[in-house]
Amino acid sequence: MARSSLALTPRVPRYATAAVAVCALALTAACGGGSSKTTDTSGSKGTVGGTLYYLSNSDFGHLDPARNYVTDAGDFGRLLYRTLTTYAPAGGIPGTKVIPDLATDTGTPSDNAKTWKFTIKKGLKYEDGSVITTKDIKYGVERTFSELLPEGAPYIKDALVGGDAYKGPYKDKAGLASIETPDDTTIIFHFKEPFADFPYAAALPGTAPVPQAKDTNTKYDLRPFSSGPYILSSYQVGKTFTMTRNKYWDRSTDKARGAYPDTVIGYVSLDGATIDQRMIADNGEDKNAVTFKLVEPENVTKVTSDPAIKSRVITGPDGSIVYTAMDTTKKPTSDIKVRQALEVAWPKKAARIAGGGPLVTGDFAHDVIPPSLSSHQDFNLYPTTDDAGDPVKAKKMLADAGYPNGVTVTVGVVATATGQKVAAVIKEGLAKAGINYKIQLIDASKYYDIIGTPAKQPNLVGYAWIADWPAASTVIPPLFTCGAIQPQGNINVSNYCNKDFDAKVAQAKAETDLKKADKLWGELDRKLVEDAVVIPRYYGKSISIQGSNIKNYWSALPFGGQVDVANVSVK
Amino acid sequence: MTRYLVRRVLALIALLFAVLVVTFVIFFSLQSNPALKSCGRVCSPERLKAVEHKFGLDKSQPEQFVIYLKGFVEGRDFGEGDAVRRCPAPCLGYSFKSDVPVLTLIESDFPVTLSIAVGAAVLWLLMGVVTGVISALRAGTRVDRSIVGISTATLSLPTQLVGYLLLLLFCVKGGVAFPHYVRIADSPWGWFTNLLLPWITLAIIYSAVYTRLTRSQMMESMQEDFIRTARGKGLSERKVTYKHGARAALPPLIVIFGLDLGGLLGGAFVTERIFGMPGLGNLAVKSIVDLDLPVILGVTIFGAFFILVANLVADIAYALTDPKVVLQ
Repeated sequence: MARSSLALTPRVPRYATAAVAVCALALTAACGGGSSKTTDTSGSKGTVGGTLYYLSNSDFGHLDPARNYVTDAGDFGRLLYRTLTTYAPAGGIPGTKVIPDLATDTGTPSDNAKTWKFTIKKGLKYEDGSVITTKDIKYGVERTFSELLPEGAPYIKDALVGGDAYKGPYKDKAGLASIETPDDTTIIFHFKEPFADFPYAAALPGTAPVPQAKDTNTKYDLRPFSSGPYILSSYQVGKTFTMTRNKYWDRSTDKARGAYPDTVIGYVSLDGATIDQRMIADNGEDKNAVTFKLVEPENVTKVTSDPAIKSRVITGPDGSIVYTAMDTTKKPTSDIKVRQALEVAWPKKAARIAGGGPLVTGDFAHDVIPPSLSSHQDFNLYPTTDDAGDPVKAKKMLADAGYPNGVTVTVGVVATATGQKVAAVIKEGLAKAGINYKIQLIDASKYYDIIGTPAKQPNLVGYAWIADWPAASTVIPPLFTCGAIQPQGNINVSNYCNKDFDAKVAQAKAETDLKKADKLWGELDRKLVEDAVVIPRYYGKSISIQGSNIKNYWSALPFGGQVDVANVSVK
Repeated sequence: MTRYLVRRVLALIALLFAVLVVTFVIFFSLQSNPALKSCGRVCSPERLKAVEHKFGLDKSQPEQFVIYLKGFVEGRDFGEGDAVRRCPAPCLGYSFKSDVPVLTLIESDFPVTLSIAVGAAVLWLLMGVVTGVISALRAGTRVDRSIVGISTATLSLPTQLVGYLLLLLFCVKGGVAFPHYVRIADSPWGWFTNLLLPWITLAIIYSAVYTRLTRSQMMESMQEDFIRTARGKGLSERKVTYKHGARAALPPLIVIFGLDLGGLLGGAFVTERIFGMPGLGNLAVKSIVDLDLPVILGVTIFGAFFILVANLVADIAYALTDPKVVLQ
């Protein structure tokens, strides 16, 4: 999961893809940061009742579980449907722990984690009182293969045996043989390769049950059949929605959701700047409101310095890594020594100040795996005082590498005021090391087209990423393996291809022992920095304001640091 | 009259066609691939090709243009086999981003824009004409000078400033609930109260022109010979003013009102964004950010259609209210 936004518009929380989009632009805009708190410290626990309001400047991409792949929809999707597993109700690292949801446990692997078996709890019901069965979960996963519903996370469907040929339940009535349901409470998945992280993948909306009789294919997006604590009782796309209680949801079977408010009302067409003003003013029903929208950079100082507002500000890591990728295939950044000199010369400190400071950007990063993941290791292979960069050392490194007159590198910069300001500061810093930082301004609407096309991309490009689940397996493989390089829509923007590295990635993906896996991912992380594939810049943060009546809240890492709406209370 | 109408309607179609061509050319000059918007997180070349094929982006630009025009008359199918999506005639295209026909998006958002435009128009017309008449009848007095002064000031105010100031005054400081769109069918009172601030914002901006125009027209018409004749016949001053004076001042107002209303029906994006009203202006901005060409085209054509029709209606109304004008 990840969150991000376009610099042109207030940040739209998303899972991985969008996170890329916004935060890469956020190099020029904002990957939030703050100073307040990551969780409700009032000691108040949730109380049932009341109406929760949700203010947003964008609607959910999709609420159909087969298509739900952004953090805001993922967070709200948990109100409407349950999945095999989900995340523990807690802020920070404890909230990244996977716990059973529909299932009785987090799954039993066999055959070197190529097979996973789950048993679901008995007596679980849909909104009409009918019983949830594993056949409905199988059907829900099968729907993700349909060409009609292509937007969901690809992990499970890419991994299942026979998935390459299967076209979904509308075309292939026989179903997918690699998902077995020997009875109504058991489900077994067979994967092509070891899938150690499957309990995480099973927390994505794709494993939500969908009864075949209730499937309305593309229209299901407007009215998913509820297995969660709420029913989507009205929905005007792009405008507003109302959720009311599902009387058949049984609190005793659900350890992940408090589901305290009786009603949830969302307004999803609001102006970003107006949302800030509403949350700051805290009038009327806005006292009961939550928002995922990050505080606008110009308001960050105000909301973190005014005690009355600060107490309602939630801040915490969003799980993102913001970096500058160096194209390993184009001269002069194809030379590892040039890339290493850039690492040393890079004026992180000055660039962060120009970008709005730590509250707006985030903490300095020195590796690719953010601290919110257990495989993160603290190391800094290119240390400089206060992260200010060391142009003298970098100049010497370049001279030793055969570039006594320095080098010229091209960089793609989003054509925004902040983007240009940051680029100018970096240019000045690198010039001291003899590096000519040649800026190529790119319109925001074309940025990802250009940097995602290796033939067109400059030497350096800004990028950002948030893991789809809190493990390095959704950071390193999609961003730094040979198979990830595409002629268009490329996300391995360093064009890094190293067969030995890929072999070790496969080994880490197959490792079911978490500690061993973390060690392997940590080594891979270090290798990326040794090879100077990217210049890590910030570990992103989120910062948002909540209404004064909101209680039992926390910044939920699996949802990009957004508030966990399944657990907030308005009383 | 009939010949005039036919000529104008043909000109309207030609202009719409020109708008369509220009929008198409501008979009393709961006040299960006909109298929990437629908391709997903990891966009394989095969998937990209499939998306391009689904939306017809694998064809040449002239071909795409012809297909677009054909779709308007016959409707279009996007995709193949089980994944086909039908876009019935008049098909204005299929949104890359939202995965629905453009007309569905417009139908969903137009009631918001219509609500804003009609309510604001009533308000600014009332405010503008009433203050204009008062100003004209009391020309040279303090009242007149105040009205002229205020209208000059409001005329130069940006919509954004007025909107945010009203929000600050009423909602942030005054404690009034921030507005959001409520359908008239769901709650007529909620619809009315939530639209008040957008209406007032637009009325403040637009009414200034009407005040000044009404004032100058009224002052001119009240000097005419027929007004003296009317007074000489012994008509009351009220009848002289409103039946004879005001009517003569009306035609230019009708023309400008038609154009303003037509323009607003195409979307008032600043007002819509500030007050969280998901209308056509909002849709247009989102589609531009998303490079969603079919939506950009659809909203542009829809907006242009209203401006052109409003222009035509205003011209006809002008002729009906001014006996000196004959349509040829």
